[in-house]
Amino acid sequence: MMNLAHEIIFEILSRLPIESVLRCRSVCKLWYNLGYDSYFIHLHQSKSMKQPPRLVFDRFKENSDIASNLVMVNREEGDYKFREIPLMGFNSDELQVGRRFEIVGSCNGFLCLTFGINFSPSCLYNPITREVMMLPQTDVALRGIPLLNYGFGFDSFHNKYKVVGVFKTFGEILTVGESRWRKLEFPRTVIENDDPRSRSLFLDGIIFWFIEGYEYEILALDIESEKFWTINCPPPKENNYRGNLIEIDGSLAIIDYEYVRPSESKFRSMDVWLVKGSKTIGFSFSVTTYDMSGLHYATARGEVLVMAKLDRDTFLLACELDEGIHINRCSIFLYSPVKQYLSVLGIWESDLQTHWMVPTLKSLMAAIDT
Amino acid sequence: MSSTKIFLKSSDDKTFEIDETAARASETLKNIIDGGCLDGVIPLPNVSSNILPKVIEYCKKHGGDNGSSKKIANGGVDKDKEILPDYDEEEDKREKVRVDELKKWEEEYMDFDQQVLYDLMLAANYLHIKGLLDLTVEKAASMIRGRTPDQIRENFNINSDFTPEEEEEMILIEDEWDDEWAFD
Repeated sequence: MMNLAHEIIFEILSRLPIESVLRCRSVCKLWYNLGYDSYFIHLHQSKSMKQPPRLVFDRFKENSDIASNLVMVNREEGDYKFREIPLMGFNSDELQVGRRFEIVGSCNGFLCLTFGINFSPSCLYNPITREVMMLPQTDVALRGIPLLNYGFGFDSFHNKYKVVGVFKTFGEILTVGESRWRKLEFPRTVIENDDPRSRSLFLDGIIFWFIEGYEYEILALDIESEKFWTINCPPPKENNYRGNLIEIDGSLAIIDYEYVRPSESKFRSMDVWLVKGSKTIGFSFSVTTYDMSGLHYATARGEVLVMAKLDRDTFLLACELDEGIHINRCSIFLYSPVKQYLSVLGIWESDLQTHWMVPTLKSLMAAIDT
Repeated sequence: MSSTKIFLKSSDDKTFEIDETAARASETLKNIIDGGCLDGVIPLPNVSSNILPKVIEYCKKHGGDNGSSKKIANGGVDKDKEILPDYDEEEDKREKVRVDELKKWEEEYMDFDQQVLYDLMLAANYLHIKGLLDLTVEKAASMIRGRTPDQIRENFNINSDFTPEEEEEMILIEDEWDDEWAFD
């Protein structure tokens, strides 16, 4: 093996999942240094793009010195594996005990995180290399005006990352690498990010938010041109209520929920609306209804949230436990409505901000410079 | 297509014959042929006579086979014309049989020891035979997946060249990224 050309060793190791690459660093010095080789990093990333993306979400650890951990989900041959990744690389001010963080967005293997009370977008983070890049504070947030919502996206044309902070009727946008936020007029008011159902979604250069009031309209922001437009959605079916936006196989999707009410808040079914099309050709909506009544008592009686669709018919779901004292304690589980298969992964505190990502060894600094 | 014969000379001076169409599976050979620098025999100083027949076997199987272009040529269908659904179905079936047969062939072809694997990877890399490189590299990668660094070193005959202090650091890395995927 030692006689093999480096080129071939690169070829072999670039096909491994990121965990294997990281573990393999302890094989010998040559392999160790691969983690810093820009050609290898690029090769590995381009091969990883062809693999199914990973899902990440945050987990709040009780009674711990670490504010929170990330959880990364990997699918291997139909098996789901879950790895906790501690938040590292921050200085102690940023990670005070009890100080919560949230994942605001995910792009090219980098996460945008917020900390603290006003939840201004705080930093970009690569959970693999533990590299942190702090962002400048927005002036508005410094004046104590609360943020309604966020966005994080990548302008692939100019190779620039952008972070959006949304206030009541306007927003601010930061091109990462620049020192100041710029004002961004929002044509409509988006819903407040007070629970995971209202988060933004970044997909193919566009950030999506539900518009406030009635969630039959979606506000879209083109991250390159910084221009807005709206998408009119079909209303939820009778008895359903509009839930959240998620990404399913690269498409925007809306999840609607139906509960048996008012006697008990039992989850009965859900509608998954796949949104296809574009601004120029228009949008079409196709709906699939899933019978969720089989979920019954597995998850206490709280409301269920679809975090992601993992494959053909398996969903990652979360259910807030209605315990009165703990606000954000959730049960997180896999459920296949078709096979009626349920697997509870655990109960813990989480903001349930789930994001798809392709983990990379790429350095944030290098990515911002280009 | 009439097939011209090409002669390849291994590092240990043995000559092998291969059809030009098969030789074109190799980017390197293709460039030599197209460059018109063909002077009877092509010397391959990096490929021994142990491994060259194995390479030729692969090229024979894959030479001139460029997926979709073949499909159109065989079916005689103009790609601008609308393809009839029943034609599609037939072609799908044939395609499936072809893929299954190829998989079986690859399985048998790839049954060799580790030294041959190394040599084949080197030859595929040198001759730019993408399919063969993919096949062999994927096999090598499968020998690493899910293994501990100790097992990998043993498997591939690699010596750890870390100092004892560095070794200790490495254990931390191994522990952190080990194969245990679970919640506490």
